[in-house]
Amino acid sequence: MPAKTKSKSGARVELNTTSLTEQDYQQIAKKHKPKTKVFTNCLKAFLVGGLICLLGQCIQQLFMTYGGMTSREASSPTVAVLIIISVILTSLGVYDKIAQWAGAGSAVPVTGFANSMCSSAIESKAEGLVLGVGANMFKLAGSVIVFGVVAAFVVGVIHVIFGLGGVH
Amino acid sequence: MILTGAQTWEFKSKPVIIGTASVVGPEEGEGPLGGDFDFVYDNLEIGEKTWEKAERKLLEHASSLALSHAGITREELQFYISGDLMNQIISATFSARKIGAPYIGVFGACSTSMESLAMAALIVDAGGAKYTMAATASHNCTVEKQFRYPTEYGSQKPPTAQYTITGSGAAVVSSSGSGPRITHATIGRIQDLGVKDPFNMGEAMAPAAADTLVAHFRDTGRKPEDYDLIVTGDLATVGHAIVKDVLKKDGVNMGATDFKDCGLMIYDREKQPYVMAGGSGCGCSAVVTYGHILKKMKKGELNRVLIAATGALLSPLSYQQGETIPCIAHAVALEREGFEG
Repeated sequence: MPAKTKSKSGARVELNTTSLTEQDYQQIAKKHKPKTKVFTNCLKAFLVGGLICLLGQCIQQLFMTYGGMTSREASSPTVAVLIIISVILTSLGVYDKIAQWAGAGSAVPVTGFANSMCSSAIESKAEGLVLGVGANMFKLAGSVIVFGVVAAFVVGVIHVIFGLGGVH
Repeated sequence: MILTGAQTWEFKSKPVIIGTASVVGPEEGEGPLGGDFDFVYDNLEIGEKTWEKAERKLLEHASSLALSHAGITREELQFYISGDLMNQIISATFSARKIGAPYIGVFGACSTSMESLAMAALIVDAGGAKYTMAATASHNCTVEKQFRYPTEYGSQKPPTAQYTITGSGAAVVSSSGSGPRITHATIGRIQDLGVKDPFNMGEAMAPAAADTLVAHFRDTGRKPEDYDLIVTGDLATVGHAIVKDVLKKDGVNMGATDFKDCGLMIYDREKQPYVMAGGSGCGCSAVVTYGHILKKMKKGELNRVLIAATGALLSPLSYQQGETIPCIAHAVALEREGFEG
């Protein structure tokens, strides 16, 4: 249907564009929307996520071999080292670039958690220590903590009721 | 009466754009239009401590540069019309402290460039002032901070996402003088076809662009071929392809003219893959129009141009509450000085 032209009268003319329903429009838009490459993204996430875990394993091994720690003792300093690496990369403006390529691979491990806190803290510095950094540091990480605690509680309740296995 | 048709103003006096300025950040400077801009900053901080101050400085820089290009003083400027993407349009209002002229704040998201230019032309055409200025700015980091995530947060953006440009454009409009002339302005209507994804604003804004372009042709009786160049604001790859399709359905043949998009002109997507689908932001259509297109008009390469700047009028709150994105587009028609069409 052609557009109605030359309505000099000033009368309201219904435009064809607005007669498009949401469904019609979605059909048109769908054709032009690049697809998110789910498989490639999964593969990249698997690779990077795995590499970060491998790096963690290596650091832990170093603590065990040269620090004389047991694997349990070595786990905390290992996490601390990974967090420091993530914070340094975030501060240098590199972590977000890795994340664009890696997706969930760099978001899920502890480095992603550190990145979310560090980036929020850097961003809020302009608003001061209390109202800025302090209030906003957990802006993104906060929901991870909340739902982590809720999930742990639910699992704990199930464990108590059913007495399911697990190492004490 | 200057109203022609339902939503278009025809400026009989053809207000003149006597001076413009475009100031951009490093990434825009690296883009294909880099050489056209009046000033390119080599860093995003722009010598300021906060991103918000950096954006304001861009706006102040562009505004004062436009005044000097127009050859008038701050005291001579009668109205300053400005807007930006920040909450309570702080960049515009705070920059108005320095400009000093009576100020009108406008908000049309990324359509602010043409909204403010249309207002500036309307005031001059109605005899409300001899000199008015339209200005707008955006900064990649202020927008990331307000609308998305912290700038350094590692999140993966989908290929439909757009990259907010860092830059500011300003234009001084006058009732007389030398420069490209403003002949028409078509004020858009809000369009909302149910798109919710803030990482796909091209798709959200395309219906608004189509609606305003159809309205402009209907109101003025002009056709796409009457223009040497028609640009949309910042629809980027996805939105620009969609708008072509929608207009084709409406029987408007955009193939008859050169139909481009500011969001695609400002970056080289091959060399600058981080911009994803293309540029966006208040500054985008402003710097492309004032920095690139008007210079081509002055050189005589373009006679008649139509600029339809598009804006996605969402807020971080509205999108978190699951609302769809209302969008708008405002079109301004420009003519080369001395062109008798």
